[in-house]
Amino acid sequence: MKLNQIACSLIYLLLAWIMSSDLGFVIVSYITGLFIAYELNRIIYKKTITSSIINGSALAGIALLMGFVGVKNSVAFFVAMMLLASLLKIYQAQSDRQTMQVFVLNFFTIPCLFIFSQNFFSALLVFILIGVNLALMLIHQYEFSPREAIKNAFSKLALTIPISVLLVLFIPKLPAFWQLPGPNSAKTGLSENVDPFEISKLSESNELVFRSIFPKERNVEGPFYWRALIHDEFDGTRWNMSSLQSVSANYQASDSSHSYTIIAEPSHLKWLYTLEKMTTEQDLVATNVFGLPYRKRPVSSAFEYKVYNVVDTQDSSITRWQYRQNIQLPSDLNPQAKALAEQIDKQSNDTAEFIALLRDYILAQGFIYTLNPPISQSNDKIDEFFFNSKAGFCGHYASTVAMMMRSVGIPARLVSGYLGGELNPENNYFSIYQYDAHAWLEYYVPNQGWLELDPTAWVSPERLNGSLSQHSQLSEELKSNIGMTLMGFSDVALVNWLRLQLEAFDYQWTRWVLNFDDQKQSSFLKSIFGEKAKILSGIAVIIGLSLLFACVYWVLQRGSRQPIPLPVKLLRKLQVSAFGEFDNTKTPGQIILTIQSKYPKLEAELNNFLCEFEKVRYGNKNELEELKKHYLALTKQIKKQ
Amino acid sequence: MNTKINTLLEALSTVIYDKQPQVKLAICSLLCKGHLLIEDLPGMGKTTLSHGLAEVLGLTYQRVQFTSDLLPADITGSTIFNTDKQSFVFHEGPVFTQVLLADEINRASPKTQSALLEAMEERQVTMDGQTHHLPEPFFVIATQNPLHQSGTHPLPESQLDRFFMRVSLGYPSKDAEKKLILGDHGRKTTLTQLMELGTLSELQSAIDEMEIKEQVVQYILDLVSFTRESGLFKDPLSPRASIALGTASKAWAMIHGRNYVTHDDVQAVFPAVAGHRLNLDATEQFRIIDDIYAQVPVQM
Repeated sequence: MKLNQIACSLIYLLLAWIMSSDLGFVIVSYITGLFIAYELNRIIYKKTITSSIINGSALAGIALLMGFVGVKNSVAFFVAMMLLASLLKIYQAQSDRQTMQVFVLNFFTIPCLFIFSQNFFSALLVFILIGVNLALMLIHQYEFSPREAIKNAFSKLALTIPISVLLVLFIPKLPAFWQLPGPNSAKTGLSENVDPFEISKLSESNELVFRSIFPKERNVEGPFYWRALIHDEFDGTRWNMSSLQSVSANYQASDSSHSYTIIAEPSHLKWLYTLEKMTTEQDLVATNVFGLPYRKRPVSSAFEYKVYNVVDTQDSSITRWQYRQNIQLPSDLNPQAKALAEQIDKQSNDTAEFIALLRDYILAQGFIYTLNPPISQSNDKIDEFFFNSKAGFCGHYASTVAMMMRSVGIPARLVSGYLGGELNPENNYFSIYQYDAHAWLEYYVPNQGWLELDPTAWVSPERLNGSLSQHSQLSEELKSNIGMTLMGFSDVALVNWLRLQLEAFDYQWTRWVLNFDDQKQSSFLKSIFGEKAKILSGIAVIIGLSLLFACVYWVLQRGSRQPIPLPVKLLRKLQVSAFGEFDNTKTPGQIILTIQSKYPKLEAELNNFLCEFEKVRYGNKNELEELKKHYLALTKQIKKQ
Repeated sequence: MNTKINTLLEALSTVIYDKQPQVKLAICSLLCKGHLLIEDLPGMGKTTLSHGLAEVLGLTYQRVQFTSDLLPADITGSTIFNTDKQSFVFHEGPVFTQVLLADEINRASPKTQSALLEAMEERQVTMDGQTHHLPEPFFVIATQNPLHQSGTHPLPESQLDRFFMRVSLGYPSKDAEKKLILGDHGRKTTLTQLMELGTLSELQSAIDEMEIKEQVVQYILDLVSFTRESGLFKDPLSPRASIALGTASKAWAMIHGRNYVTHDDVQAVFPAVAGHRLNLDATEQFRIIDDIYAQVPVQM
């Protein structure tokens, strides 16, 4: 098997794995199939992969992709198609030219990783893979030894780093003309519809969701309920978002200084995060009627906004329509829970007492908090949970309590977001991971407005202290759900230290590289060149540097480059016009002979050309007129045929 | 110039059918004052070729059949006591000729082989302190059976290098073989002398005046250094081989009526010049040599 094929297969494999595990699975099984087919073919028939295998694999690959990725997830689908196409092409390539085309395409394929992940390690990986691709090109085209090729490729690539830094700093940033739809990722965490009873295992991911940076002087104290979505429509088991979520409202900032900054990681959703009702000066962010921020376009790359607390102008009354919306409940489901709610309601005078009695009931019944709740087949899932299994996670408790409140006429709605976060003490920021996802509820009390309630905290008060990863009782469960990552070994001090260092590094990367947007750039340029000339000076620096590079390049190249003599150019053109490519290991005689075998009628003309070529190139003849004449006659004839 | 060579070729093609390239290489070797090794199975026309060459050039011809009991003196000659003159007299062996056919050279013992190869290199025989010069021109055509045949002593690499070229005649085409069967037998055709001795040496010295451009010399160097640097060959090409490649390419160009050397000339003589020096099997060498061509770029 050739080096090109192995190397490219490995590159695609790596890319596919990092892009998405589903997609990775398709490609992995696919490549393995190809390897096996190739080896079998070689052993049994002693020949290379045939085009029928390639075509068959292409069809099978499209079918697999349809099945596992689906056309709806268009970005992932097309990236996977491109990976497959490149892979098959490298096996099918017969000439050097075709192989080179794949290598050139790789310069596009490899950075596609950025659609899926933009952290520092992706950038590093793309850098390394680009280098490897360059090295492969050198080995393939110029027959470098692997060691030489890698040395050469990476030393050249290192030269591009200062140039790209300059470009990032000085090239004026324009808003994107178009935007790629993000890949639909099937991740836990926020979802627009919450149905806790469908989930048997909260397969949580340790992916970063956002970071919140508090001003240094501010003393931060939890618990932090990061609100993101409000679900105010309930169909018996599932809590849905209403259209209010996207209705914007105007708020007035209560304070001129921001209270914290949030850097959201790409989620490919519009929804953002806040602690309280907020507003922001970021143009792209709007605040909805719940006081929650949302972005006008889905978050496809790391995104930063400052949060200003607002004067709560919302009056403590709600409209009739809102009232109905928040007590609406399917009448026929979960009779037991309803009966219990009514019984408690009779014993209590007001909402606070109702909650206290419900809390006492739940505490007395010995409910437990688990990430792996039993799944229920019953229609009355809340009854099943509340009276039989008595084990569940935040969604179960929030959903049940909200439902019971609705059944006795207290308006209630589900809130989903994140609870807690991991503090990085050095930089005074919190990292919030997907496994910190949480659900709680809000209920309405006349004259007081909407109040927050977290029934999960009754069952597991420890959950309020920081991140789920710091939860002593649940950390084992969490680790087994997350699997083999650094998080899973956070008991080992060294590993935890390393994890925090990497995390801090990634924070700086997100803050200074990914979030270097036009605002940051303009303040940077302003600090160097002053207010007036900031854009022009940026362009001037770039032009100046390019001219300088061009001059250096020109001086270095002068003398080292030898012009190709005209007769050789003509012969090469002739070869290209006959075969589409130029082969530098053929002698003039062989070139003419192969052209002759393709165009047997041109024998005489070809021989005349060769004879003349040899006279001017090997002999002492200097006039090129006759050669040109022969060349023109030949090309005319070739075109005719 | 090449009209004279052409008449030679035409005359030879009346005795050796359909083997134009090999005959040309043999003449090429002769023009370069180099010795020729023909590796082939018995009965392929080796003797006919060497005999024919000697005849058309009007050169004296000797043939020695090498056997395992052949002694060095059987080739170089020996000193015999002449009772009439009461003194030792040197009797010239068969090596004292202009064209020597050393048939099945690898059947003889290494000692005998090296006696011949010494004579080939020095163009003289030293016997009992006396040096006897061999005639001019001196051209050895040695034949050798493919090495896998039993009872052979393969020539050591150092001695293979002394042969300028190795060619393999190979089986004749069907048409040519038909002609042979029908009795139009080469050996019966008598060839006449077509070239004066002076003309041959003129041609030999004209080779030095052939035009060879920088890029062709570079190609020869590239080919030679590829055999040294690629690590594919146990015995890479020596500088002697590089010189031979240059000279042979020039002679090949001259045979084709040109006064300049092309890349194609180099490729035409390369298998014959380099094949035995790289210790390649005569029947398989073309595949390996094509590999070399495919990896050494031609800078025109």
